[in-house]
Amino acid sequence: MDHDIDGSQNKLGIRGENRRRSNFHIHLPSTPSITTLTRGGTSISGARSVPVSSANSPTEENGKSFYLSLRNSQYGRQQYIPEHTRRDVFLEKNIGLHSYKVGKRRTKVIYKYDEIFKYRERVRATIKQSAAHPSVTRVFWPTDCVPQSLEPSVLVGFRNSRSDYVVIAIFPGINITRMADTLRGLETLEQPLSETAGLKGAYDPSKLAVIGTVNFKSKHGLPLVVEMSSRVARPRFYTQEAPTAVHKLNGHAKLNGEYGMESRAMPFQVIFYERPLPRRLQYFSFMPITLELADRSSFNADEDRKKLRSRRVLVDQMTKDTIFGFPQTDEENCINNWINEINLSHELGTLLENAVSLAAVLPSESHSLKDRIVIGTKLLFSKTKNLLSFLWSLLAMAVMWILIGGLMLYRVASEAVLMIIEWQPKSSIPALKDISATIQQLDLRLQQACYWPIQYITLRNQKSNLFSNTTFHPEYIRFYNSLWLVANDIIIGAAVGAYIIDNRDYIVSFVDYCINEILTTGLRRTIEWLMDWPGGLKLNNELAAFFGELFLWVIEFWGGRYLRIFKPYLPDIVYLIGLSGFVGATFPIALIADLISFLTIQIYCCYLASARICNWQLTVLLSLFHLFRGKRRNVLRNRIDSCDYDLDQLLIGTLLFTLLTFLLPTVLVFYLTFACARLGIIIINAMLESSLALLNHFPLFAIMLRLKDSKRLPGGIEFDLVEESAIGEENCMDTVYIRLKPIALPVTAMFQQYFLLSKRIQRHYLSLRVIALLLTGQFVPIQRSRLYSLQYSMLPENRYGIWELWFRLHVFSVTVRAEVKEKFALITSR
Amino acid sequence: MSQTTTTTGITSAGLTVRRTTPTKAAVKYTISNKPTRRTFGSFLRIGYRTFCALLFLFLLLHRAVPLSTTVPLPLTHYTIQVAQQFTISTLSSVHNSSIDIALIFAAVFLAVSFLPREYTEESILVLHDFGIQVSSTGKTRLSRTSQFIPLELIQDVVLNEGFRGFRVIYFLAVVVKGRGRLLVVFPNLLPQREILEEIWRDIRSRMHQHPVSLSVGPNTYIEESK
Repeated sequence: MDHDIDGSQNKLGIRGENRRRSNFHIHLPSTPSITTLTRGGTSISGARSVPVSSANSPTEENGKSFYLSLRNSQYGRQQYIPEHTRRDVFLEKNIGLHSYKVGKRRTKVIYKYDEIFKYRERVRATIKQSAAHPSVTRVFWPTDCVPQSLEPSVLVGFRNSRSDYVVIAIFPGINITRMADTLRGLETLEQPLSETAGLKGAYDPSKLAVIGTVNFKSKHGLPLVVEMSSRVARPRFYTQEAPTAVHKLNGHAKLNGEYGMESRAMPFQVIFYERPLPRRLQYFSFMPITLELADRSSFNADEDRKKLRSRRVLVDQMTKDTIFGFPQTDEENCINNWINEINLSHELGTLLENAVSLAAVLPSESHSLKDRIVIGTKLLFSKTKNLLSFLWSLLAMAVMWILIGGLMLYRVASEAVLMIIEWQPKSSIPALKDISATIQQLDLRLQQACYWPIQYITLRNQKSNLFSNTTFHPEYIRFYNSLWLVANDIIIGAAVGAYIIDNRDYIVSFVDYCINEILTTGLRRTIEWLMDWPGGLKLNNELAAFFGELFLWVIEFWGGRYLRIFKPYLPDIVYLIGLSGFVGATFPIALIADLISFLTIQIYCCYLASARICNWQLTVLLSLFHLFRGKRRNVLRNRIDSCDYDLDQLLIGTLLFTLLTFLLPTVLVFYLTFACARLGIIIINAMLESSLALLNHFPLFAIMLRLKDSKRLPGGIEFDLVEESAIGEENCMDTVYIRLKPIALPVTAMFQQYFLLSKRIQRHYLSLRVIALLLTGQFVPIQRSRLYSLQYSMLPENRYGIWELWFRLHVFSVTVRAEVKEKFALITSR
Repeated sequence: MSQTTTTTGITSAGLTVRRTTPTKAAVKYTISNKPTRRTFGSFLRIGYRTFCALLFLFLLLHRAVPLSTTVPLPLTHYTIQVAQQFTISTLSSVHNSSIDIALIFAAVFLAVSFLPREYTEESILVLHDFGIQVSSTGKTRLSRTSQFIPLELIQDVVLNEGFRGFRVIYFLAVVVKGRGRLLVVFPNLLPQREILEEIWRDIRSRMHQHPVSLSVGPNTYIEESK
């Protein structure tokens, strides 16, 4: 397979003609032998001698080869598709950074492979150097724990890499070796520092170290040398005379000459941050906190899928076009770490502080330093409060057993109710909860109550390792939000219920008036008016009389016969609605909504009948109109064909067309009356149901947290460039000061669900489509389940079964018992 | 010792481009359409605000001390009376209710007159070897959005062309890995291509640590041979 393509020895030209979709794969093995050129599946191989010395080509060690892939995209540009994201291929990607404006011209593109290899070698060499010597040092600096006095202090923190430090605490007046001993001592305790409550597995203890000093006069080997002229002044970072890491880098930079004359040393990025207080549940987070459950938050996906797809096509194209993939280095992988370390900083800092102060207080005669630390921490953790906590947990255990029994009984009962509610005899018949708002509400409350114990147990389990997971906070907010909403609901409901019961007579008389005046007499009067040339409009007498009598009969049948039976019980029903208020304000509202739908069944029936007739007449008119024009609709091809009708067909069709045209106003008038009535009822019901949604789902707790302490609701992070920065003097490093600030979750994000709901309501009830449906007499459906999806967004998709609950409760009780035993052992051992 | 903010040479059509003195560690570009001199509109706005503030103050005073009452000379009496007025008027809701409503309206007008932001300011902050932050001001003074993308999530920073109305515009965007979308830099101001190109070149060179990847920037082409 060894032969030349181009005839040239050191240069390989690859000639591609810019046709659409022609592909070139240039295979460059690092072993200097073969270059493969693939074009449309056939591959041509060419040999060439590439002068690569094996010593400085690192890829030869792993025997991997490079691919250069050139493609003429549909945009007529030379594109490069990266096939490897390996670190040392990215030079080739850079070479792909050509943007040939080809247009319709045919251009020959020839690459000089000498150049490519030269570049590749250069890149490899520099990557090798720069990976070992990063170009910037990043230090996270806590602003809230700078000591009062300016005495020499020690910086303790995480050392993520040679250029990435997170300072978590500053200890004044302490020896470096002593601080290091303290750190080591804490790790060798029976229960090491990294495994104490809340910190288990949250960080890598090997990274926690003494990383620098403040205002130290003596020299030492630590990487950070800081001087602060006053408490409020910005820390300034210095190089050291001693051969430290910094100094080496400095020398490297000088040697390399890569950064020119302006900067003599590796610059510093100092990022100020205020340590979040974990005891107050504050934390930093990259992503905004999500208040909905994850599987629910995408419930709008089906509607925006189209938009998303088109956007994804664009981004896919962009990623294909992207030439400049950044290589992954270890340093970048640890970027997500630092947020975690910042979140830990306060807790770790206080623990260390306590340990240090106790070690200083203890008498030093008989114990070594390590022992003193051990004793000090033991003292810290075990006091007389052990006894109290034991008694408390005994009491809690007794209560827990009663509660577990009650919960299981309740769960079984609610499961039975839920099964009745959700039972569907056939898939076409709606379940009970889809018909009635009250039963829907009942279903929601029962499901919430089923979910609470599980939510509580997960919260309690997660609290023990607060720092190693991110789901705790949203779960916490969801749990207390739903609890609070229910409590609120009951409080408001008690007021509403009392009001209803107090004013029962007035309400009964009002409902009675509504039934009599609006639903029966009012409707009858309207229909009679329609029958008798309404507004001077001359309708067809006979048809109007027919329709009028039909609808009058329906109204009479319902209003006169059934509502009369219903009427004497009205005071009791109102009383019942009032009483239901003590379960929550949502229940009277839901009951009222149901009552309205029940009382207006006759309007619904009339609407259905008139809509069907109107629609039928319009369809017939349309097809007769086609006949009138000598055409007909071809259903198979979904188009209008011309057609030869017979004379009698035409005659009868035309006659019928005229007839129906003249009858249309009469039908339309009756239809529009009932459609308007129906629309009014839908609007009232929609209002009631949106108030239900507000009561059930309002992000009360989140808003309270936002006002009280916005750091508990993180919406991301933000960096601010502090205007003044230190430009290097004698030994001082170039430093850029940046402030890290948490962003509070915007209010719009809290109400995201409501925006979605309103958009959906608008799409379903206020769009042009709905108006068109109404005008043509077609049925306008209410998609109740869609409206209610908001209310269920705080619940999991499938509720936890009885056994699942039992299992979790059992595990929970076992852990509680173990805790009690442990505490008992602690007391007796003393 | 100090870091100055310089206006770069590129200004166009009411846009000012500022950037911090580029150090290796960080650079920030800010584009704003803040008017360089006072216009008639800004005078109008100031006038409206003063009017609202004066109205509010007047109503507040009027509510505390109704104009009909004569103000006694000794200050102690006066303060007592003010206090009485306050308690009476807050206790009886009927009293002075029209003034109350007017006061509320004036307060709302005052707040609303201060709420809107007069100009847009959008910026990009490149932290060397760390990430990119894109921020822009919103419609009101209170709202401001900013988003930080760590370097590991950045696929690329690109200059792309798109349609806006019937025009073809160029925009600077950050392609974010795995998110299926572009993060547009300067999304509201959308400065012209010359500005964007300069910023883009600078950003690309300052984003990453490897010096050669900086030098093999968008400028460096491999020569084409015929």
